[in-house]
Amino acid sequence: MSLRTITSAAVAAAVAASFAVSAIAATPAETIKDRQGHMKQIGKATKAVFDELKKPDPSIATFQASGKTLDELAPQVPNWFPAGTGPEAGVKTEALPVIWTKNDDFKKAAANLATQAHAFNLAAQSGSLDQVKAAAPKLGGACKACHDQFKAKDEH
Amino acid sequence: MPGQPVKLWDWPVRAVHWSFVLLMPALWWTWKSNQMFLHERLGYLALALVVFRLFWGLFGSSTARFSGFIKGPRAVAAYLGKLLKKGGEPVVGHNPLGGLSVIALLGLMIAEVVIGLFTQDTDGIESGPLTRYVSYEFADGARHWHGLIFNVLLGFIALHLFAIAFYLVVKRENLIGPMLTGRRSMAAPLTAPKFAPWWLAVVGLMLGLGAAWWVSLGCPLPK
Repeated sequence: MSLRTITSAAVAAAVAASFAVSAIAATPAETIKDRQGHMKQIGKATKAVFDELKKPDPSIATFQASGKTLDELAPQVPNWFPAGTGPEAGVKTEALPVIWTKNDDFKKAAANLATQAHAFNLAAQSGSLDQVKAAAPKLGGACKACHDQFKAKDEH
Repeated sequence: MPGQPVKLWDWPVRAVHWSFVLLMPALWWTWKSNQMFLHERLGYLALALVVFRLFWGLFGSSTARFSGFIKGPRAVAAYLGKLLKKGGEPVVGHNPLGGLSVIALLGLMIAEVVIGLFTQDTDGIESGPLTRYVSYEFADGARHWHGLIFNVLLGFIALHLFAIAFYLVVKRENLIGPMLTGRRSMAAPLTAPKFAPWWLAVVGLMLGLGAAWWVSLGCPLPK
């Protein structure tokens, strides 16, 4: 066994161990914090898309970078909402209890986001601005539809 | 009140004032009911109006000019001192305290409109025309300030309404009528206001609308 293989195996073991530890040790507060971090990544990617669309000469590379991020993250959304990570966790969250009381609806809305994010990514990777312009409102609509029902409207 | 009617407020001052009265609830309602497309357009109108009001405060009629009603703390204190005494002759235009109120309300509206241009919703899908120049964090923070300043503005509007009620009930002076008709009765005008020509208001309006149009396009610079 070469040194390199041993090192890789050790790194892999350490990574696996840290995942196991985090899976065991993740408190609701930690899960909420991670979730907010992930959602912010999504928000940054969508902001880049909708900001770019307002420019007189939008760059397709921006849509492609965002499309890739969104297509990766969107299917994971349901995993970020384990039971017990709503307002009852006692930390500040805009996740409404209806996520868990109407969990099927929530999962449907999340699945729609994954679908639209994938469609948007395909449109972006095709390089056609027209396709991007057609896909973007559906992507935005998927975010909004879920937020309208399952996320508290922040007053300010 | 005895005396003859004197014209105080020209039509641009009155039109801008009552436009704000209509715009405030409309802007609140379009936000509340998630009609952000409309909210943004009404915001541009508010921007055009505050730009016009600044122009009119510099070059407009004498009762509209900042130089005519922005007074130092000594004048404000002196006015406050005799506020409750009877028989004081009404001021032609804004009194020193009212001048402060104009500055507070106009200043807050300017801050609210400008911050709104950089405001986005949580995912940057609905956003002001200038968010592309700022980071996600900045635009997210702008939303909080946009909400906060609105509440401060509401507080000052409440104070404004309280002051109007105070003048009406305690001092028996109706301030609402003159803001509608432009005229109020005075025993003798101390200094007759000087009114700016109508075409200057048109120039100011074009300036305001032009600025709002340019901002709505995202402030493009000529190439």
